[in-house]
Parts: sequence; structure tokens; C-alpha cells
Amino acid sequence: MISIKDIQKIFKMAGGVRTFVILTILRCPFDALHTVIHAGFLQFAFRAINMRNQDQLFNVCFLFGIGSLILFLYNGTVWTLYAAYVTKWVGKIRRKLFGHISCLSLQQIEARPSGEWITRLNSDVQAATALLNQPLHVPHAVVATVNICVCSIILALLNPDIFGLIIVFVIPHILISQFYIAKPMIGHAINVQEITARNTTDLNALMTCADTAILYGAQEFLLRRFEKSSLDLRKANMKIHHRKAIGNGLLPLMGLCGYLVILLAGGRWMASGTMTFGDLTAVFQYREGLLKGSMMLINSLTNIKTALAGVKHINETMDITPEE
Amino acid sequence: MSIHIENLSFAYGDKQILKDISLNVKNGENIGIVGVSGCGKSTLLKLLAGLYSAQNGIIEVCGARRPEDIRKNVAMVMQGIMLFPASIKDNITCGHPMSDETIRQACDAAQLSEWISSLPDGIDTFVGERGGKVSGGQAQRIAIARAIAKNAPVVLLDEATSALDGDTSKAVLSALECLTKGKTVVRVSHRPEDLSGCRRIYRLEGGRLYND
Repeated sequence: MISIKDIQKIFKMAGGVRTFVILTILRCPFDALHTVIHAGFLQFAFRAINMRNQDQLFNVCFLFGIGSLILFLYNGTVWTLYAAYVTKWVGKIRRKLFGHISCLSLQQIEARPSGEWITRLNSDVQAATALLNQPLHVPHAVVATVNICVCSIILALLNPDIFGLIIVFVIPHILISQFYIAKPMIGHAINVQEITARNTTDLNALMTCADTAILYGAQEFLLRRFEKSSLDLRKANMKIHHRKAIGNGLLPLMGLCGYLVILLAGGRWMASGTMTFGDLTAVFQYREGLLKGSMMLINSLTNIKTALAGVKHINETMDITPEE
Repeated sequence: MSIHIENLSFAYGDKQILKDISLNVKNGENIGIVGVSGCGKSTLLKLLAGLYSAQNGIIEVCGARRPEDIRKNVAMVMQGIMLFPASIKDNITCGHPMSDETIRQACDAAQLSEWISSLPDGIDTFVGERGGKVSGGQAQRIAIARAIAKNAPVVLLDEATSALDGDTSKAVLSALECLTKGKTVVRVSHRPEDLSGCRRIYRLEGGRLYND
């Protein structure tokens, strides 16, 4: 079972944990601020339109433009620093892995097929790196959590009834995604890594045993083996995509139901005079932030579990003690 | 004539390896070629096996001149065996349809049967590509069994007995005896003592072949 210790181990190996934490914290407020600025803009802009106040509308638009510009400049700077950090991280991991493998005895190296070593150096490192650099991973999970918290607090303060309605649709979605999608994902991911190793070994055999294969007419045999492992790899990858597709299909369904319920409830409150059109627009904006955050968090957790298969293999390799 | 080589030359880029080599080997004849490492012995065997094409000159093996036709008539056992990452059976048959009896006979001749019967999965046991799951002697005997199963009229042995240790050499030598019985054999080695059973011994030096 992969635990937080495995992640700690790989971060310890790569170093730069402080930089990672600082960059993640710096990235944290973006989505929440984006939602707040957007919702605030809609709320105050519609209020100004209702009041037919052109000066106030101009000020709201001006502030929205300035706020958005600063926010996107800030975000771009943080991501540039983050990309440089990830590049260094990958280099360090690969160098350390290669160094460790080179210290192993011939017997230890020969105990595994060459494809497995190549897979560990390439796709396992890529998978582990996905924790940091691919869309919807650790930094996104953190950003999404902050976004969910901010939107929830504002929504609860703005209109507790609507907040309750939104939660009713969000919670089941998160639970289904976690237990039905993310949980089996790690097993599928480990399976993919193992088949990748077999596939690379089969490909490698064509090079390393080329003379024997040509002399004994074994090319077709090797091709058949390669085709079989390629097909197995495709099937294993399909299982992952299948689970992800189910997860992706759930959100629009839940979102649509929630949207219709809030629209009907909001319409009644507006008719009774307890809510303005600007408030309802802002509610929808916060709801979108909450849903986007939930979706991002779910996807992040799912993808993190997939990436952990690579982390597991890297740690396994580093745990092999070189013989004296 | 089983093997006929006439004015053969071969180079890797600018580096001339073999120069104007001529050789005739009769059916069932057993000859040896000795030479220091890097003199071109393995290159000559690869040309004889149809793995390389001659740049100049003629190579004819059992009447075949095209590399793809030559390969049908040749079996080869090399030093530093690389096995396919597959079962023992697949390593012997190379994926070709072969009767169980042929495979069994090849295993018997290659002194593999006793070892195979001690394995839980028998002949279906998976062996690593570099023989990581089997010893060097076992890997070499699998390669010999593969060559026996092919039943080619010409057998090429590239340093096949150079790296044998005391324990495995007897089994491998017995296996090689079964492989080469009644066949045209060309052995190459850097040690003259490995070629003791050969009817004629040639020396490869400076890219040229000399009859010792």
C-alpha cells in the first residue's frame, strides 16, 4: 500500500521540499481570488445596472480589469518558477536512480529484464513527476481545496439555503468519485507500469537478440510477443480511461440537477423580494467556483493515485541494497 | 562443397576487416579459425551465417548465395548468449511450429532434460533475456538445443567453449558434440587449444586468412 511516506521519501531524495511548499502556497490563492473577483464583479455590476448608476458601473469594470490583470501576472510568474523547479526535480530523480542502478551488482541487474530498468528510468519517473507538473495534481489539489473553502464560506454567509442545496449535489459526487474511480485507479496504474516494463523488454529483445532472431527467423515470434504486450498495455490503459470517463460523466449530471434546483429556488426568492438578480448571479458564480474546485480536487486525487504507481517503483529501486 | 568463399573483403566504414579471403569447406568437414580478439573472426562468421552481406567477393553456403537463403542452412552458437525473454520452449523453437518429439530430442542432445524436469514449470519456465534466471552454461545449452532443433547442415561456433568453467564444460561439450555430429562445422576461437578436434586450422591475421 502506498502511503504518504512514499511521497515523503521521493521528495527527500529529490530535495527542494521547502521550495515546493513555498511555490504551492504562492499558487494557492489564485482560483479562490479569481472566483471572488468574478462573482464580485457580476454582483456589483448588476447592482449598478439596476440602479442605473453609470459611474459606479465604470468603477466596477475598471477595478475588475485591474484586479484580473494583477492576478494573471502573479499566476504566470508563480507557474514559471514552478516549471523550473519541476525540471530540476526530474533531473535529480533520474540522476539518483541511474546512479543507484549503476552501483548494483551484475547479478542484481540481471535479475530483472532490461525493459523493467528502462521503464523505471523513464515512464516511472514521468509518472512520479506527474505528481508535480501535470494538470490537476498536487498543486491543483491544494488550490482546489482553498477555492472550495473560500467559496463555501462566502456562499454560506450569502445564502445558507442555497449553500445547503449545492452541498447536497456535490457530496455524493465526491464520494462516488473517490470510492468508485480513484480507489481502483492505483491498481490499474501499477498494472500499466508492469505491462510497460514487459512491453519494453519485448521491444529490447529485437535489438539485443537481433542476430539470433534473424538467423533463426524469430522476428515474427518477437513481433507477436511485442504485439501481445502492446495490446495488453492498451487494455490496461483503457481501464484507467474508462474509470476516468465515468467520473467525467458524473459531474455534468450532478451539476445540471443542482443548477435547475437553484434556478427554481432563486426565482421564487427573487419574486418574493428576498434576493436581487445581482445576488443570484454572484451565487451562481460561487457555485461554479465550488463545483470547479470539487472537480479539480477529484481529478487531482485520481491522478495522484495513478502517479503514485511510479513513486512506488522508484522507491522500490532505491530500496535495493547494492551488494558488497 | 558445403562452404565456398572467394575473394571476400569486408569493411566497417573505412576500417578494412577482411581482405581477399578464399576458403573451401567440404560437406561434413570440421575446420577451425584462430585469431586474436578484434581480428575479424566473428565478422567472418556473421558473413558465413548470412547475417551480413559480402561487400566484395562470393560467399556460397550449401549452394545458396543470397543471405536469406544462406541463413536457412546455418545454425550458430555464440559466446555471451542472449536469450529471448520467453520460455525455454520458445527459445528453442523460436516460435516455429515444432513437434514435442523434436524439442525433446534437442533437449536430450543438449543435456538439458534433467535440469528442465527439475523445474516447476518444466520447459515452459520463463528465462530472462540475458539468462538472468539461468546459469551461463544452461543458457549456452539452450542455444545449442535451438541450433540442434534447426537441424541445419552447417554449424558455426563462435568462441563456444571459451568461457566454460569446470562444472558446466562437460555438459556443454557433450551438447556441442551432438550438435556438430555429421555436420559441416566452422569454429572460431582466440585459443588454439579450443580447436583441437578440427581437421584444418586457419589463422586470421591482418584481415587475411592463412592455412596453418
